[in-house]
Amino acid sequence: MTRNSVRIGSGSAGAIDRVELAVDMVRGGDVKYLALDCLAERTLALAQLRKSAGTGPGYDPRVPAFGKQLLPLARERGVTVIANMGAADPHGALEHFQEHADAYGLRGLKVAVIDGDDVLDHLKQTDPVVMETNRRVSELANGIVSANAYIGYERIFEALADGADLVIGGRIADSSLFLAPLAYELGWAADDWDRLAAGTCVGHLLECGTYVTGGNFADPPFTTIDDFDNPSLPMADVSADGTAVLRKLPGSGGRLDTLTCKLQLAYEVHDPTQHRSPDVISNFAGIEVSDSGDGGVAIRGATGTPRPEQLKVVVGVAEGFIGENQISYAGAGALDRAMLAKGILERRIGGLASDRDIEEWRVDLLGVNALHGNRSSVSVDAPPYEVHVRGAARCGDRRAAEAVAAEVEYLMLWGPAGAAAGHRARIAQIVSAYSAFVDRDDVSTRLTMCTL
Amino acid sequence: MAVKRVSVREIACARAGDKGDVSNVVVVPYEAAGYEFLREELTVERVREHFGELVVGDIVRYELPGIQTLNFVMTGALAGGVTRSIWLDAHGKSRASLMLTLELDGWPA
Repeated sequence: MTRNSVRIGSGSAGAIDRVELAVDMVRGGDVKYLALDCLAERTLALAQLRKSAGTGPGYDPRVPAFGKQLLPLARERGVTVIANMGAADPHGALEHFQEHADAYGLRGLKVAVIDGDDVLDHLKQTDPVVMETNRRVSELANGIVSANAYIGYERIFEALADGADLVIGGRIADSSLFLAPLAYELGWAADDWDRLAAGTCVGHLLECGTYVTGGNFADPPFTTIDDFDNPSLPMADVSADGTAVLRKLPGSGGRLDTLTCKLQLAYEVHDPTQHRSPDVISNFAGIEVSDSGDGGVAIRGATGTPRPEQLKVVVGVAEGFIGENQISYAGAGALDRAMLAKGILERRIGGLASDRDIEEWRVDLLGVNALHGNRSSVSVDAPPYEVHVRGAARCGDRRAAEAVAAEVEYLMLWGPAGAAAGHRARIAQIVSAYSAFVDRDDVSTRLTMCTL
Repeated sequence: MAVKRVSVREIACARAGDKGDVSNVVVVPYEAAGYEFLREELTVERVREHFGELVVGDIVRYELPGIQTLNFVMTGALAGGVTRSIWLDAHGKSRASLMLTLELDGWPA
């Protein structure tokens, strides 16, 4: 039997979100479903690298914390949890929960695992064009680590119909995690594009978590937040007609109003009249937001047209290493000494680049021009008290990256006065995300149900 | 009517997002009058001039009239994107603050 409305909550806005906020949502939100987005563009490729190198799990490293803190409470409250926490290894996440079912108190929990988003073999056979390079996948110079299609809500819908308490997937599109319980509970047909767009819009607003409840917002005196110490993820009451009221937890800090919702609506959207997701092409241009009168924000007006025939694939490519380091100067003349250091570094790194595998490098002055380069405002009346010099390079091999970072540190011994080396070199593997498209019919997703 | 020069920050807030090498900067005015003013004055040309060499490719401005929002979509704007950029702000989140420093003439004094 379908309902007139359902409340769903956000439990995560990517791989670094706090588990405690998801727990708060289950405890205080009175939600029927909690959806957790656990993946950004390269998260999955990094997970695949961890898995193949044996340095960590292919699933979200928060899986044990979800098992200990979140899932037992969700079970107690009757909240169904949906998450792409499986990343590169959804079955690995299931195995973890199976192994610890007694310790976590999850025995008897009905779990659905969705896979089939891994299309690496298919991609190697069909060799599609890479959007960023306009060349074929096989022409990518470096090694492909992973290729995962963004898959839609359908398998989650089936899992819910089968009575799943927990749904684990890999590269399920962020908004699809939220759309599935809406379509299931509210009885939306698979070709009811306007309602699927409305649900996608709700998912879009919830998937970035605190971005709609006051995060990335305060810019005093123009925009302010009352209480930064008590954040809340968002939740939504969604009606069968697709209208929704966004809310945050009672008593929480932060801010949820028409302004925070407007700012998030076009976030990471390109053409708002044709926002593509695996489930529908949404038109957000006519959306309206208003104060609901009871502390929430009402959202209405998304419309939709049939879903795309092709699915986007995120292709992870290992492209060497980034090496970076910083050195700092303070007091009178700090900027002059930083400029002196910058000149030394430019000549040294430039010299290294002539015989090392250094593809690109730069030297920035933090506090002066590191974020906006030459577009930084020069109209400051007083020179900065502190300046940090940062050298960074993208290199073909780890040793070149280390050499660049070492040049920065060496400024302590041969460079301007008062160099503070409080930073430590960062050497990190680069996994670039490229995109390609595959036919929907060529992606065979699978649903596996099991009881812990 | 007396007019004055304002920074975008005085009349609107902004947020930047990234998809690959594409940066989008959303600008939302505080009041309805601000939307009409920004539609007139915060043109692609002004934004291109302000962002300069940070944006290599096209800039397209989309309008969301239902929520009085402008969305600037900038291609080739993130030095290859968050996954391979060697810039400190690889996501380009601080590009929203750059947008807010842009100054416009003609705001009612």
